[in-house]
Formats: sequence, structure tokens, C-alpha cells
Amino acid sequence: MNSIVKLSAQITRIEATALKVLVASVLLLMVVNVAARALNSSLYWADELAINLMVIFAFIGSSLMFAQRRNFAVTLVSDAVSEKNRRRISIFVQCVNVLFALFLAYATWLWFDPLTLARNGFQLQGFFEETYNSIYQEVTNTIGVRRVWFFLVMPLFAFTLLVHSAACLIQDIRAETTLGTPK
Amino acid sequence: QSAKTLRIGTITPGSHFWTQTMDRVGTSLAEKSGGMFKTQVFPSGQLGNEATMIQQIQAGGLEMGFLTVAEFSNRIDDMGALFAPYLVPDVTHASKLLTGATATGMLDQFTSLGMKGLGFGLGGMRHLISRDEAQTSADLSGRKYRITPFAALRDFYELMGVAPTPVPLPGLFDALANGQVDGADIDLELAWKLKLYDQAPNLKTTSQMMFPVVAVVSGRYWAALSDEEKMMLSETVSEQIDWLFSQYIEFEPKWLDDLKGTGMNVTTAEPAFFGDTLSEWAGIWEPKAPSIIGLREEAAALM
Amino acid sequence: MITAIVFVVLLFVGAPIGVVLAISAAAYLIDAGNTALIGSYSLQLMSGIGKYGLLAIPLFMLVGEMMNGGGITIRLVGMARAIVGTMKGGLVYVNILANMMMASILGSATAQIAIMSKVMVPEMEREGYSKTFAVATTTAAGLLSPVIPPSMMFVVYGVLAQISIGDLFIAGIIPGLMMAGGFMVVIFIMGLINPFPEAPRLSRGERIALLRDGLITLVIPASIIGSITLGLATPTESAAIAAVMAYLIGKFVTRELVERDIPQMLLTAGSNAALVLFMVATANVFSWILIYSQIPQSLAAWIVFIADNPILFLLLLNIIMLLVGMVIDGIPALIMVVPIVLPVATSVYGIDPYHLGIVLCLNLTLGLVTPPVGVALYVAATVSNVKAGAIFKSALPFVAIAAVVVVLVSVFPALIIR
Ligand code: NA
Ligand code: NA
Repeated sequence: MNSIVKLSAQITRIEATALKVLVASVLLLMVVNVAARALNSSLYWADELAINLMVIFAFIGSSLMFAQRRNFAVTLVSDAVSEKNRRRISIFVQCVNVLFALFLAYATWLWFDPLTLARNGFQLQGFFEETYNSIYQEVTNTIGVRRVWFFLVMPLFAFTLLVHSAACLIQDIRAETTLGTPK
Repeated sequence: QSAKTLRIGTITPGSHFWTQTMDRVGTSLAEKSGGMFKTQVFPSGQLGNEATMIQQIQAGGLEMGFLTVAEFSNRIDDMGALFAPYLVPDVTHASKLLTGATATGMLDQFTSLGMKGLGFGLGGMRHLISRDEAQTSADLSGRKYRITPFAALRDFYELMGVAPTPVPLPGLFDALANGQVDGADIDLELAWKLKLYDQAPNLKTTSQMMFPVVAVVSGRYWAALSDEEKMMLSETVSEQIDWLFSQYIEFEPKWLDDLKGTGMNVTTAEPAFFGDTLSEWAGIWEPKAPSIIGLREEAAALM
Repeated sequence: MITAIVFVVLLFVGAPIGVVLAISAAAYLIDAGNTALIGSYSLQLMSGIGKYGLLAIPLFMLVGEMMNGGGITIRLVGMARAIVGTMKGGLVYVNILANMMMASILGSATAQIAIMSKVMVPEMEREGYSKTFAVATTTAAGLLSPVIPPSMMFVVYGVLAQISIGDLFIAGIIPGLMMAGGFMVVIFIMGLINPFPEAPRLSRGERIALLRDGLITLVIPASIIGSITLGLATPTESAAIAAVMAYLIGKFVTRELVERDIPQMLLTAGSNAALVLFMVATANVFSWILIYSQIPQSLAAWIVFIADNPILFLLLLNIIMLLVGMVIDGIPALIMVVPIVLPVATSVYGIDPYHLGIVLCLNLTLGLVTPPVGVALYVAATVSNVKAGAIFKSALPFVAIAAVVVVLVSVFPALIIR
């Protein structure tokens, strides 16, 4: 149990660092592209890369927000009830978050379909012909790398969300946190 | 027999000929099948962009799409053949080539993507529109042109020393107005409907390329249809694609007149305008897209 | 049906709204037996935010952080104070005016509310206003952000409707001024009923000093307009230019920006952007399944059945959009509604697409603060530590007057500059 809470805290630190780097990169990419275009040599790939980096930091940042219990929520009910019931509600909500993380893990499992990939000896064409799932073969329009590298943020998100939500749940059950309402 | 839901996704808005073609497919199918096919058309990328729609078709969640061949050329190199410069001179010939033996044979390649290709349609021929006039392609060197981002087209422009710049279509008006791009690879329909004539008053009608679209059905869905149903669906799509061709054949001259009526500087260019670019492009793409040879032969026979 | 129950229960029990939307969508897929789409679920979640225009959200957040860190926002507020600050209840008017100025820099209500709350709320508290009222005023005034150009909502509508975004911005000017004017009227009436704290007096010299110090802030909107009209940048990129300008001004002109603080600014901007983007992503899967189940399409058909003239159509649309705006916010709502409503409005009722766009965007701007799902409300609550419900209650008069503006704009197309 403690190890999950500790792991969550460690992931949080990594996520914060990644978030800073990614936001800075997006800004830099846009500025460099503006400058390059002013010099008549537009960076063909800059926009698509910036968009993909934003998608990645959106999910990394969302995960961090779950860890910090900073989510948008309707608190009508939990504001109106006693401290004890509020804790119960919070435990229920954390269970919902765990459930969502598990569903997402399942959905990404179906999407990445690693077992079929392994059964095909990691031969992408064989995998594709069996499943008509082109996840490993799709190429970005302008960056020239496979899209799957960016898709990987989804299983990562499912995993970190699971850890963070489980950690929050453990803390709620142990009554370690001063609850109030999730902000 | 139970009713068959046929959901069709397009990226174009409801007013566009491509979406209308699919609306007509729905109406016609409902009549022919006595309501057996229940068609729903989802325009404007409501179900996602083209890449997302392709993924849904492959997964079997979406039954059909009317999608740009440009998007597919990312996945099947040979589709680049349909963008070979100067395959056909105009939409009339394009419609014949796209329904001819070679193109029809190319439809089989969609099987490799888990789809059944039902038929190619088209948007208008591609031309050049720009802020400043260009006498030869050498004048284009160092300019920034808006293109649809896919490899076959990007190579064509890069060979001329143009910086291909992917601007989303709705941003094109402003991008041309403020000089963020110097010009665009465009068809007459867009030049007219997006009102690009004031911002980019020089139209060079080059007709250098087609811009084909393809009707594809999910492979799983196709496999579950009876032979009779397959025939009905495939014939209906062909009929309505013929209607689509007729629209472009009718409207292209009108759009050109409309554009001329705005006082635009409209000039026509011969293939020589592009100089060595044509042979250099062929050098890159003939090995990647072997259907180019067959398409050229068939196109020559049409002339 | 299951989807609706899951949605309501999870929403009111206080699950994160993004999770409510995402699980409801999942429940629909499982309930409808459409498991083929579960494999597409993650991609749909990603592609909901993989859009060029959305890059402006983190960039706007960053512009705001840099402006706060460099003491630029406070100078902007000072300038507003010099103009209207000595009136009774002056700081409330200052809040509206400063937000109007800020709206000419930022294009997203959530970004603007996150930024302005940090500056305006402490100022108002210091002069004796209640915190809840301070937050509510700032939230309402932040709604000017998507109405006064630049505006992300107009950009998205322009993209969907294939019309000129520049012309849309112009079309939004009068409704934007009406909203700001309406807010001022509300404040005036509120001040009559319940007198505001006295505003501190400013000497002529102090006013001139405030105006002089504030002038430098004008460089930022100027650089936005300049970079776009000179063809250096797209509207999205101009937000990046604005961030750089805010950095340069904070570092070399005001000299208040501390380089050490920049990582924290990146983190704050990234976190706030992530909060909003997660809602956009999950609202996208939610509207995806609504579209699949043809609910918006049936609603549109129903309106057409009822309404026999354009004004009735628009009024009904307002009611529907109020309901839509309650549960789906801003951009995903636009993506869901525009492709269905636009062809009906233009071809059946002959409504001008610019008029329709302003009506839809104003409605959805209101939706940003209507519970239960109101992203602007939650951003304000998160930044200020005041409960969302309390903010909404306190902001109700502003919301009401904004709703009046929406109805007026629906009924009088002449209010749209074309
Ligand atoms: Na704005
Ligand atoms: Na709302």
C-alpha cells in the first residue's frame, strides 16, 4: 500500500518536470516556425509536432491534476453532507477514477493489441493483416515518424492515472488527507 | 431480413458536392432496398478527422467513408500515382480515367487496409493562385505555397524550390491576405467559395493534377452483405459518383467565369511552365507508385 | 438510458467532470454493444485535442503567467483604475474595463479568468469587497474574452462554417460592447441597492502616472494585431509572440520578471491548460457518442418541425443551446452542433452564417458558467478557493444580463456588423 503512495509521489515529480519541458518546447517550436517563415523557409513539420506535444502534455498534466486532486467537479452534494459522509463520497469518487483508469487500460489494450502482435512475432504486416489495426503502421503527415510513438501517451496515462487514483483512494481510506471538497 | 445501418463519414460540410453525393447514395439506397439500408451521413468531420475515420472503418465502428485519396496516399504509396502531374487535361477526362480499368484495379489495394474500395470520385483540377504573378516556375522558387500535406504533392513543390506550407483551409483567406503564404495549390471551387480572388489576384490555370476522393466500406461490413446487397451498394455508389463527375464538369467552367468576372488576372500555363519538375517528380514517384505507367497509357488512349 | 443514469449519478456525486463524460461515453458503447468502437476510444480522446487552434490555450495561459510575473497585468489594471477607478464602486468598473483590455490579448475565457482572478480578487478584497463577489465579477468579466477578438471560439466556428474569421471578429464587436455595457449597468444597479465600498481618491498626478506606467502593456495587443496583419503569424502563433513580448517587457522594461520563476510559470500554465484540455478531450468522446446515437440530429429535426420563422428558430435554438451549454462546454459543443444546425439555419431559414455564429458562440460563452458543467466556473473556483456554486449565485445578475444580450442579438440581426 505504502509503495503505491510512494510511487504516485515519484511519478508526480517526473510529470511536473515533463510538463515544464513540453510547454516550453511548444512555445519554442511556434516561435521558431514564425521566425523561419519570416526568412522564407517555413518548417513544414513544426505545426504537427507542436500539436502532438500539446496532446502529450495535456494527458501528462491531467494525470498530475488527478494526483493533486485538482479536478473540476460538481460539489453540491459533498458540500451539503457531514464530514464523515464526505469522506465516504470521496472514497466512492476515487473508486470511479480507478474504474476509469481500468477502462482506459482495457481500451488501449484492445487498441495496441500486444498479444496478437507477439503472436505474429512482432511482424507488423502480419499483425495488420490479421487485425486490420493500423496503429503500428500509421505515419504522421509531416513529421515523418510513426504515430504510435505519440499514441503511447494513452497507455502511459492509463497507468499513471491508475497509480494516482489508487494512492488517493488509499489515503482516503486511511483518513490521511484533510478532505474538504475536491477543488 | 434485418435493416442494415450504413453510417458514412465525410470531412466536407453538408453543402459540398462530396457530402451531397453521399446524401444521394443514402436516398437512392433507401428506395432501391425498400428501406433495408438505413443510411446516416456524418459531414464536417463530426466523427473525427480522416485518419480517425479510417481507424473507425478498420475497427468496424463506422461502415463507410468518402475520403480523400491524399489521406490514403500516406498509407498506400501507389495511390500517389493518381497525383501524377498532367495525367489528364480536365475533369471530363479525369472522370473517364478514374472509372477506367487501371483505377478500378487500384481499388483492390484497399483490401490491404481492411476496406473495400467502391469507386473513385474527384474534386476539381488543381491550379496555382498567388499574390504576385509568376511567368515561369523559376519565379516560384523561394515562395511559400499552401498545400494539402501529403508526400506526393510536397515533393512536387519542393522540387520547384517552393516552401510547402500546410495551412488549414479556413485560415487560407487570412494567410493569403497578410502574406503568411504567397500562394496556394487550389481548385476553382475553393478559389471561388473561399473568396480568394482579392487576396491572391493571380490565377494560373495549370490543371496540373487531379484531386481524387474514394468511397470505401469497412471490410467486415462488406463481408457480411449478401451478393445482392453488395451489388446494390456498389452500383448505387457508382451512379452517384457519376452524378458527382457531372457536377464538376458543369461547374468548373462556371467557377472560372465567376473568377474572371472578379477582375482576376487569369492566365493559362502549358506543362512546360513546370520545366524539369515534371521529370524529376516522375523519377521519384514512378518506382514508388507503379500504377503511374498504366494510368498514363490509359489516359493517352482517352485523348 | 444507462448512459443518462451513469451521467447524472457520477456528476452529482462529485466525480471529476472529465471522468463523468468519459465513463458515460464508455457506458454507451458497452450498453449499445458497439464494442468495435472501444478500440477507437483512446484515439477519439486524443484526436479531440489534436487540433491546431487549441494550441492557443496553453499559449494564452503562458501569456497570462508572464504578464502577471512581469507586473504587466497590474499596470493594465492601474490604467483602468486611472480611467474609471474614482467612481463609487470604482474597482468593480475597473475589473470590467481591465478585462475588456485583457480580452483584446487573450482569446479564451478560462485562460483569462485564471489570470485575472490572481490580480483582481486580492485587489478587490483589499478594498473591502467580499471574496465571493470579487471572484464572481472577475468570472463574469472574463466572459468578454471569447467575445472580444481574438477569440478561440470564433476561430473554431469559422473553421467549421468555412467563413472568414476576421469578419467574424468584426461581427462580434457590438455584442461584445453590449455585454460589457450590460455588466456596467448591473454594477450600477447593484451599487444602488447595496452600496459599494468607497474608492480611494486619486490625484491628477497619480492618474497620469498610472496611465503612463500602463502604456507599455499596449505593446502586447499591438504585437498580436501587428504580427497577424503583417503576415508574420497566424492568430494561434500570435499568442506565442505575445508570450515572448510579455517576457521581454517583464524582463527589460518593468524588470519585475524573475528568471527563476519561469519553470513555475510553465508548470502553472501547463497544469491549467491540461485541466481545460482534458475536459475538451472527454467532451469530444461524449459528443462523439451523442452524434452516433443521432440525438443532436433529432433535436434539430424537432426545432425545424416547431419553428416556422427564423426568429422563432433562433429563440428555440437559444433554449436548446442553454441546455447543451449546461453539460458540454465551448469548443466540443461547437463541433457537435455547428455541422447539424448550420445547414438548417442557412438553407431552411435563410439565416446569415455570421449571425448564427455569433448567436451560437454567445450561447456557449454563457454555457461556460452554467452549472453543472461550467469550465469557467471551475477554473475560477480552483484559482480562488471559493466554491463554484457560490460563484455562480453571485454571478447570476451578470449571467442574466448576458442572456438578455444573447436574445437581443438573436432577434435583431442588425446588431451584427456585416
Ligand atoms: Na479575446
Ligand atoms: Na455549462
